[in-house]
Amino acid sequence: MSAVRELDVSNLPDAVLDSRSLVWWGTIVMTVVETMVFAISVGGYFYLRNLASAWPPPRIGPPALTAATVNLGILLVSVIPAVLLDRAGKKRDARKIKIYLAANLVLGTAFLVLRYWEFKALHCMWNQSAYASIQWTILGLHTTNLLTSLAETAIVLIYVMTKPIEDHQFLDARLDGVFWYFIVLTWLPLYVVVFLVPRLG
Amino acid sequence: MRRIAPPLALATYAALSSACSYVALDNASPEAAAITKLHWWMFWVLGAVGFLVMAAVAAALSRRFARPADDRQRMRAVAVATGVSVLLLLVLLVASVVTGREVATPAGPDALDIEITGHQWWWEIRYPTAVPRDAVVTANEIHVPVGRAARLRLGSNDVIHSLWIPNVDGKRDLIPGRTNWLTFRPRRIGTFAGRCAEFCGYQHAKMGLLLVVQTPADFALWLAQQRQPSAEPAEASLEHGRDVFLAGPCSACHTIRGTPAFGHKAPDLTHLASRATIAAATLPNTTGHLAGWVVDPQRIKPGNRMPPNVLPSGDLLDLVAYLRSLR
Amino acid sequence: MSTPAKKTPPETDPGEPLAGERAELAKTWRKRSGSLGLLFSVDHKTIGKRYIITAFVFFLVAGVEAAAMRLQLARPEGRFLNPDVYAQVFTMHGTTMMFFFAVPVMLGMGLYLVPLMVGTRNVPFPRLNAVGYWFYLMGGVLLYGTFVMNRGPDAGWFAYVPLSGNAYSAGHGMDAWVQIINFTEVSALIVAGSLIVTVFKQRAPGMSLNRIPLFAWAILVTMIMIVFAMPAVIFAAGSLNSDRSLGTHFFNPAEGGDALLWQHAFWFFGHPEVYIIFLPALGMISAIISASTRRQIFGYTAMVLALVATAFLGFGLWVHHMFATGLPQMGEAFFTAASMMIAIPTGVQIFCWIATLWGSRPRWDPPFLFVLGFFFTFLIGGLTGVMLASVPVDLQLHDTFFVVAHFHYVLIGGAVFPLFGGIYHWFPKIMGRMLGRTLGIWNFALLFVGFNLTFFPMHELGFHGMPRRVYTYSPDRGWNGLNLAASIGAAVMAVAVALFLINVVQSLRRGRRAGDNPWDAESLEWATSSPPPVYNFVRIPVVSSRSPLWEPGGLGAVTGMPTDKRLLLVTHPLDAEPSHREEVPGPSVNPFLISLTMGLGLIGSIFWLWWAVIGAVASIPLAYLWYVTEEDP
Ligand code: HEA
Ligand code: HEA
Ligand code: HEC
Ligand code: CUA
Ligand SMILES: [Cu+2]
Repeated sequence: MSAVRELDVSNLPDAVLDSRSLVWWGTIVMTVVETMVFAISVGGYFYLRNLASAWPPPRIGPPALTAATVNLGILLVSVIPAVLLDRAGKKRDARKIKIYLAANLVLGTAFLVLRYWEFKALHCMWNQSAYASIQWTILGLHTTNLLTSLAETAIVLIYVMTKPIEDHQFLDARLDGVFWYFIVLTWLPLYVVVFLVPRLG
Repeated sequence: MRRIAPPLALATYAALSSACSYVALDNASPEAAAITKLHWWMFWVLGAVGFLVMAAVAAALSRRFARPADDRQRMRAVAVATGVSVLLLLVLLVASVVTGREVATPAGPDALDIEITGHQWWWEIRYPTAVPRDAVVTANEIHVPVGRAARLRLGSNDVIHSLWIPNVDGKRDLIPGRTNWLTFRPRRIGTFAGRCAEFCGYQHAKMGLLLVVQTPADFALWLAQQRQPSAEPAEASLEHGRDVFLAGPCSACHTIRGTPAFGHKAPDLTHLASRATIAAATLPNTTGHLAGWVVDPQRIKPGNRMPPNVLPSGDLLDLVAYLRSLR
Repeated sequence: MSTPAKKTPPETDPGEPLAGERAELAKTWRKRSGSLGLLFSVDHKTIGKRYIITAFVFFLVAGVEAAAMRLQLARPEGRFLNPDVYAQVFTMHGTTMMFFFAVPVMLGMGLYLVPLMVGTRNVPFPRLNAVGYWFYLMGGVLLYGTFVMNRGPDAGWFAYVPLSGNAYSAGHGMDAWVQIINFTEVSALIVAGSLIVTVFKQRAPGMSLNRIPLFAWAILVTMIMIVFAMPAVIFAAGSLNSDRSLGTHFFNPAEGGDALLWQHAFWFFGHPEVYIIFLPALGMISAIISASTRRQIFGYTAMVLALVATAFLGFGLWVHHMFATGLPQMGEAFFTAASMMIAIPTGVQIFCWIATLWGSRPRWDPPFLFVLGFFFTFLIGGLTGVMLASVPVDLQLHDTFFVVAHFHYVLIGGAVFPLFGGIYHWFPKIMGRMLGRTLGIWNFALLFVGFNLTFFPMHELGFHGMPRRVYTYSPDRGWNGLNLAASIGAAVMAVAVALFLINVVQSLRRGRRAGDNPWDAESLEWATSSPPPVYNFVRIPVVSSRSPLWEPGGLGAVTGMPTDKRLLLVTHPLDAEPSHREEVPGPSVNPFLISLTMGLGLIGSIFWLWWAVIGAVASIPLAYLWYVTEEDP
C-alpha cells in the first residue's frame, strides 16, 4: 500500500457545533418537510377559499383576534431566549443553556396554553364546514410541531440537569433554538392565513 | 448483428399490429373525427421516433456501423438528436392544442340540452323543458337528432362517473358538486354504445348506455311519445301486473308516470318497453331477461342497488307483461 | 473539541498490512448476535437488504394478485373473482406494487449502495433509519391483515373520493389504506433524510460534486423529490382520514369541500411518485452500461442536469391524470406542454447512453440484456405517454387498457427491468456470489417475451375501448383473443420470475465466488470485499476522479481515523474536503420498540382515535432513552 496517496485526518475535530454537523443537516431536511406540509395545507386553504361563495361561511363569521394577537406577541418574545440559547450553546456555556432551555420551555408552554383560546376564537368546530376543517388543520399542524418542539426541549433539559454535559448537548441546545426559529417563522404567515385572511371577506 | 435481430423484428411487429381499428375510427361526429386524426398522426410520428431510436441502439452495438467516434462527434450527435426532439415535441404540442380547440367549439344557440346524472350504476337522462313537469325523464338511452349539436350537462349525486361515447367524443367526468359539459354534433344516424369510464364501485363494469342518433323527425316523434304518461293497461292481466308493481316494493324506487309510483332512486320505467336494453345496457330488453332481472338482479349485476323479488309465477308473468307494455 | 487522534494500529506484516485496524473496526462496529439481535440492527446494509427482500416478497404477492386478475379476465364473463373481490385485488395489486414494492425496493437499493458508493461507513442517523424499515413492514402487515379478512381497500390505488369516503366505503378497509399510506410516507421520508445527508456530507475526500457516481446522483435527486412530494400525500391522507373519522368536510361539496381537491393533492404526489420509481432505475442503467462497456458514461454533466430537470418538471404534470375532469382548457394546454417537455431530459439520457454504447463491444451478460430490454420497452412506454399527454387523445384513451399498457411499459420496462439488471449487477457485491449466467439469460428472455405478450395487446384493447378496472366483459366486444394473449403472457412472466428465484437459491448454495470487483466496474462499492464488512472500508478511500477504480494510480486512503469509536468522516458538501469526524450510535432495540409503540397506536386509531395519542405518549419514555443512550447495553 505504499504507492497509494494517503490523507491524514488525525487532527480533525470529533464534533462541531454548527451547520457542518450531520444532525444540523438532518434538522434542516425535517424543517423543509414540515414547511412543505404547511405550504400544501395553505394551498388547500386557498383552493377551498377560491371555490367558496363566502369565506368564512356567514353562520361562522371571522375569527376573533385577541387571543391570537396576544399569542403572537408571546411567540415573538420567545425568540429572545431562543437566540440566547443558540449563542450559549455555541459558547459551550453549561449554566446558561439550562436557564434558556427552561425559559424556552416556559414561554412555549404559555403559547401552548393560549393556543386553546386561539382554537376557540375560530368560532367553529372542525366538522362544521370545509372552512372550519382547513382552519383546524392548519392550527392543529402548527400545534403538533409546537408539541414536538416542547417535548424535545423538555428531554434535553432533563438531560442537562441530571447528567454531565458534553458537546452533543451543546449542539442539541443550539438545534433546539433553531427549531424554535422555525416554529416562529412558520407561524407568522400562518397567523395571517388563519386569522387575517378570513377578515378580507 | 445476429443478436439484435429479435428486438428489431418485434419492433416491426409492434408497428404493424397496432395499425388496426380504433374504437373511434368509426366516427359519428366531427369531434371524434378530429381526435382520430390527431391520434393516428401522433401514432405514426412517435412510431417513427421509436423506430429511429431503436435503430440507433442497434447501430451502436453493431460492429459494422459503429465506427469509433470522438467526443466532439458524439456531442454533436446528442445535440442534434435533442434539437430534433424539441422541434418534434413542439409540433406535437401545437397539433394537440389546435385539435383541442376544434373539439371544444361552443355549441351555439340551437343546441339540444340534455341533463345526465350518474348513479351507481345507471344513467338518469332528462330533457329539460320550460315547464319542469313536462321534462322527459328516461334512463340509459340518449336520443339525439342528427346534425344538431347536443350539449350534455353532466352531474352526479353519489360518486364520480365518467361518460364516454367514443364514436362521438372523448370522455368527461360526472363529479358530485360540480357541473361539466360535453358537446358534440352527431352527423350519422345509428346506435352507438357508451359507458362509464371512471371506476365507481362494484358494478362499474356494467354501467353502459346507448346513444341513438335519429332523423330530426324520428327524434321529435320519440320525444313526444316519451312525454306521454305511461300506457294504461289494456287487459286484465296487464292491470294485474300494474297492481303487483304498485303493491310491491317497486314503487318505492321507480317512477311510472301516470301511476302512483314515483320513487326516485332508480330508473324511470314510464316507457321502459321503448328502450333497447335494461340494467344500463347490460341485457337486451326482452321478456325473458326482464323476468330474470326482476326476480334476481343480484345474479346479473352483483352488488347493484335493486333487491331480489320473490313473486308467485303468475304475478311475475303479469308484472313483466305489464312492463313490456310500457311503450 | 478535537480528541487527540487515537494512534492508528501499526501496520503489522506486509501480507496483511491492515490486520490490526481490521480487527478493531470489526469489534467497534460489530452487530448483535443471536436471533434477537436482528431487532437491533442499524447497519445501512442490513436495513437496505431488508427493504429489498421485503419488497420482493411484496412483488411476488402483488404478482400473484396480477395473475388472479389475468385469470379472471382471460375469458369473457369469467367467474373466478366476483366484483367485490376483483375491486380489492386490483386495489391491492396497485397499492402493493407502487407503495410496497417499487418505491421501497429503490429505497433499499439506495440505502445499501449509496453509502458504499460515496465511501462512508454508515448513514448519519442509523437508528432512525431502522425505524423507517419497521414502519414500512408494519404498513405491509396492516394492509394484508385487512385483505386476508376480505375487508381490503377497494377504491383503486388512487382512492378517489367520494368513492373512498365513508358513505361509499364504510368499514375499516379504507381506514387501513389511509394508515398504510402514512406508514410508507414516514419510511420514505426517513430514507430520504438519511441519504440526502449521506450524499451531501459523507462523501469520501476528493469526491467533489462532479465526481459523484450517476447512481448516487439519481438517488439524491429522487430523495429530494420525496421530500417535496410526500407532504402532499400527508395532507391528502390526513384529510381523507379526518373526513372519514372526524367528520371534517374537505371533500364534501355540500359543506364547501370539493372532490377534485383530493385528485389535485393525490396527483401532486402521485406523479412525482412515478419518477421516484423511475429515476433510481436510470441510475442503475448508467452503472450497468458503464460496467458492461468499461467506459465512463458519455455526457456526465448533461446526465446530471437531465435528472435534475426531470425532477423539476415532474412537479408540473400532475393534472395530466385529470384531463377528463373538465378543467379550463388553457390550464390543460400548459400541462400538455409540461408533460411533453419532460420527454426531453429523458431523451437526452437515452441519447447519451447510445453515445456511450457506440462501438463499445459490451459484455453480453444478464445485466446488459436487461438494459437492452429497458431501451425497447421503456421507449414504447414513454412514447405512449406522449400520446396520453395530448388532451384530446387522452380523453379517448383515459381509463382504458391503453393507459394500463402505458404504465406497465414504463413501470416494468423503465423500473423493473433495470432493477433486475441491477440485482444481477450488484448481487455479487451484496451476497458475495455470482448469479448464474445461463439461468439469467433465460430469466431475461422469458420476462421480456412474457412482458410484451402480456402488455402489448393491451394497447390494442384500449383502442378497442376496453376500460380498466372492470371485473368482466361481454363476449361480443372483440376483446377475447387479446385478453387471452395477455393472460398467457402473464403466465410466462411468472415462469421468468420463478427462474429468477431459482437462480438466487442456486447461487446462494453454490454460486461462483465473486471477488471484490467481478465486473471491473468504476465506483467505490467495488473497492471493498464482497460482501462488504460491517464497517464497509478498512480505510476510507480518497478519490481523485470520476472513476476511482479505473485510476492508474490506484485508490487513495484516509489515515488517522480512530478505529475504537463508530466514527464517520464528514466532508464538505461541494468539494468533499474533510471537515470533521462524527460518532454515530450503534445497535439498539429502541427503534423497533418505538416503531411498535407508535405503529400500534396508529393502527389502533382505526378503531378508536385516542389510540394514536396513547401511542405517541407511550413512546415518550422511549424517546428519552433514545436520547440518552448511544448503544443498548
Ligand atoms: C415509471 C413510471 C412512469 C414514467 C417514467 C412515466 C412517463 C410518462 N408518462 Fe406516465 N404514468 C405512469 C407512470 C409513468 N409514466 C403511471 C403509473 C400512470 C397511471 C396511473 C394510474 O392512472 O393508475 C401514468 C399515466 C400517465 C398519464 C395519464 C393517463 C390517463 O390516465 O389518462 C399521462 C398523460 O399525460 C402520462 C404521460 C407520461 C409522459 C409524457 C411520460 C414521459 O416522462 C415519457 C418520456 C419518455 C419518452 C418520450 C421516451 C424517450 C424520449 C426520447 C427518445 C426523446 C424523443 C422523443 C420524442 C420526440 C417524443 N402518464
Ligand atoms: C411496479 C408496478 C407494477 C408491476 C410490476 C405490475 C405488474 C403486473 N401487472 Fe399491474 N398494475 C400496477 C402496477 C404494476 N403492475 C398499477 C399501479 C395498477 C393500477 C391499479 C389500479 O387500477 O388501482 C396495475 C393494474 C394492473 C391491471 C389492470 C387491472 C384493471 O384495471 O382491471 C392488470 C391487468 O392485467 C395488471 C397486470 C399486471 C401483470 C400481469 C403484472 C406482471 O408483471 C406481474 C409479474 C409477476 C408475477 C406473475 C409474480 C410471479 C409469482 C411467482 C413466480 C409465484 C411465486 C410465489 C411464491 C413463491 C409465493 N396490472
Ligand atoms: C331498493 C330500490 C329498488 C326496488 C325496490 C326495485 N328496484 Fe328496480 N331498479 C333499482 C335500481 C337501482 C335499478 C338500476 C340498477 C342498475 O342498472 O344498476 C333498477 C332497475 C330496474 C329495471 C331496469 C331499468 C332499466 O332501464 O335499466 C327494471 C325493469 C326494474 N328495476 C324493475 C323493478 C321492479 C319490477 C321492481 C319490483 C318488483 C323493482 N324494480 C324494485 C332499484 C329498485
Ligand atoms: Cu360509473 Cu364507473
Ligand atoms: Cu403522471
